[in-house]
Amino acid sequence: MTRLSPWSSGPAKGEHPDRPFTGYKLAHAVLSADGATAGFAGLTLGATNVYGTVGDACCVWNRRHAPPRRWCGCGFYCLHDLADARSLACATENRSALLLEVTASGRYIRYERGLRYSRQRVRAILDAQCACGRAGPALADAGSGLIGWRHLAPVCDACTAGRPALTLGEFTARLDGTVRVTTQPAGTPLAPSARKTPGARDLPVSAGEPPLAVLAAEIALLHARLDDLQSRLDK
Amino acid sequence: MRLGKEQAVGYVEDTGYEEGTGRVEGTGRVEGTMADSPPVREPAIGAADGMPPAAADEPSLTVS
Repeated sequence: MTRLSPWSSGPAKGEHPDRPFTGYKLAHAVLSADGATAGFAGLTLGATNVYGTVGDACCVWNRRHAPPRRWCGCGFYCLHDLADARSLACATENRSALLLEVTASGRYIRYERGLRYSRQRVRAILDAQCACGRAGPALADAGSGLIGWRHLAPVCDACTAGRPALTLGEFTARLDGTVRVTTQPAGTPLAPSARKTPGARDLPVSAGEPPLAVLAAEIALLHARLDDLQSRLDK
Repeated sequence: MRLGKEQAVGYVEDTGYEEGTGRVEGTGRVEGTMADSPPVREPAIGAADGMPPAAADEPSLTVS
């Protein structure tokens, strides 16, 4: 990789770690209009920029400087700790985002809890939660998007309900590089409901029958009674 | 949630190195490399959406 130009607004001396950083971040899954290409989009400032497995940051404010610049908000962002990223995913506006594990490299600014940096490689999708609280192993049209790109939102099997959807594996197969899918149930501390469905003894006698069958039987009985009444009147 | 105070700036190559777990050494905390620059304001997570560049020194975590 070509070394980037010196940083005009930063200190003259900087760190030069021998290995890139691992970070965690949130992003929306997007699918191209023709369905052939998948990608990711940021959540706020970078919401209109779609990136793939490997991406170089660009400043949405001023393309004449290279991100991350200290007095600008540009660059990719990530958090050092997975727990912090999961906390961020709890926010209402972030519920449909994927939790990604990334490699952060290039020029960077290191903060206490995260990084702002210029180059990113998405390594894995760690969490994808359906709006109902279950894990979302598939991605369905979120009903929003960008020109040329549809936003996708994680959905569980129950909530898919016949809607067209991509599994996470099908989604990553459309990316421009290899991204692992290692979604964990631990993405949410909520356990499946412990409430049991009513037992057989708690149900009415007809509870085992489909509702339409019960209704048809009632109608047939009513017809029989009407026929009996009619015959008595005729006599 | 905020990213916290700036600690350092630097440059690192993506060597492609990954351990078996997929986790790269270097978790964002490099020892003994505190920045020699004066402290700057903390970037806020999700706080700068739509802010102009002049105020974007507290940017959103979710950029890009």
